[in-house]
Amino acid sequence: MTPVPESHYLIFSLILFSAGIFGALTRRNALGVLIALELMLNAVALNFVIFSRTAPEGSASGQVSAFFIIALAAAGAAAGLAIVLAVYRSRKSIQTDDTNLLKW
Amino acid sequence: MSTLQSLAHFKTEIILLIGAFITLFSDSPKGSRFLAGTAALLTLTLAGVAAFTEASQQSLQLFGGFFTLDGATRFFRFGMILAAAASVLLGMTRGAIALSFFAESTALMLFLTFGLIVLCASGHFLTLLLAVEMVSLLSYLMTGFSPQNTRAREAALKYLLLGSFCSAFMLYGISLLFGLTGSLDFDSVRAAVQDGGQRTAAAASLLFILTGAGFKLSLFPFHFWAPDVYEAAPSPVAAYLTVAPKAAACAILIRLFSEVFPSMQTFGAEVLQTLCILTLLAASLLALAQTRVRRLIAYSSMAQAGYLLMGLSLFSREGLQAAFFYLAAYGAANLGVFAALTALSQRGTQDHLEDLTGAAWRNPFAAGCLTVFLLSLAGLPPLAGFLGKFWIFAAALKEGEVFLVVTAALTSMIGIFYYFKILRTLYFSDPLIALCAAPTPLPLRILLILLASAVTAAGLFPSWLLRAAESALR
Repeated sequence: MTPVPESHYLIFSLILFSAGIFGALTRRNALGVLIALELMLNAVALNFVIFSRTAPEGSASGQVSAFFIIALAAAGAAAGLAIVLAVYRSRKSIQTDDTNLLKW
Repeated sequence: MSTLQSLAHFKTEIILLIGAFITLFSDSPKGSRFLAGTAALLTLTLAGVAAFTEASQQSLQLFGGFFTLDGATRFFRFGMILAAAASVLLGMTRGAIALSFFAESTALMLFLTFGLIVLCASGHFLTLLLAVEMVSLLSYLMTGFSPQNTRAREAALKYLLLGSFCSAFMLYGISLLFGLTGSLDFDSVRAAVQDGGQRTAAAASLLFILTGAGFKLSLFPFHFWAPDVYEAAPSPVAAYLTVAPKAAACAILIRLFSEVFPSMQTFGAEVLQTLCILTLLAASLLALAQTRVRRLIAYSSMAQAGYLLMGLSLFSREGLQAAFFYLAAYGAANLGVFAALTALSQRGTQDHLEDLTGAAWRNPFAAGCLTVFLLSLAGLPPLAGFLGKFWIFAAALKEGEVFLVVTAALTSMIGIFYYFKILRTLYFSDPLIALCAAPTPLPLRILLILLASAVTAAGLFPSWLLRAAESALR
């Protein structure tokens, strides 16, 4: 059985990243945008893992980076949810259309 | 250098971290700002002394190349500590930041300072991405850190969504660069980029990474968060965020182009100069239409970032030295503007320009300091901003960038117009409401005097600051 070539994984991670961009730009709900941003970060982590397979020296640094990205995504989600909750408490809405106090 | 040996050169950062934890838990039960404020100021003083008295002056690679301690790191580290001290002093003023959040928010500012220093010093893409994320997350949280302030929370939400979006692009760029070069260490990446034939792919990942730096510098297409955050965040936080992260973004741009992508400086210069022209034009035109003071200052600081970028994008020694000088002058003046606005603001107002009407007659001292800072930002002699701008323009002309200089001269004329709009409101109109003279609290008065004298002294006797800027290039 032949192994799956790297390019397949790369195309998959690109699709994941693009889906994240699309979601972040089109979602009207702040939580939806946060989920889309997580997709983008997952694409980055996936990239690191794939490239650590092809890297000539020490594949460890790619895999370690993937773990760091996962931890960063978790920290980002914690901070993000805290802010979304604070906004919800004062506005009773997390629709990005409703955040209209500050204008250009 | 091994980890244990490195720790001896890492004193400043360790002091900052320990002090941040002490500040976090020095919330006084009686509800005064004194305890936490003193802890933070003491920490920053100790850290500043440790940074200043450091024995070795040569370039060191700490922690196996993850942390580069060189002239640029030392310059930016000292500047960050000074800016943080100014912001803590500003925060100790009554009303600048909510009392119940003071200790936490001051501790977060110290952690942010640590993150920014690590960002300036990063010698490895892993350090870079961790430091960028640390700085970003702390900035989002500090922006929204204000009770019952819906505007600040809204600004924090916008900052969070846009910031995470841009930093995801930056991380994607770093992962592509790792794929191209098989390494994350700055030195090995540079070697691989220089040898490799895949210049297009390297250029693409460079563009992705520039997105992150451009966001921190609030350059034109990535600036949408800046006016909201600078307007709505608590004033010490806003003051710190207009200065320190921009300095760190400049440091990391210089480091990237000198240590990772020296082979792509021509391409980088083109990109940066295009961004610079767009930023200058957009910021100056948008600033003209503003009716809120802090929002106007936000657009002005965007334009100032454009001038800084102009100095950086030349990649010449004169350009960088002028940019460093300008950065210091801009930092002092901008911190001063926020401090003076805090002294002039009245309870219950929303920072409209009209609220400042005739404020010079209410508080002549703070208004006089504000005048000094605004004139320095506008680039009028004999203040520090003038010299910095002059040297940046001279360096650009020397490199033959005439179009860039013409645009910048045009936008600084627009700049003079909107800075004078504030000054006219301050002086040449009668106060709408007759109010008794508002005394400036002591910490704020000390801060204003220090910053105003720094801006004036650097304009009249620039040699000390120039020497510091030169040592940063060594």
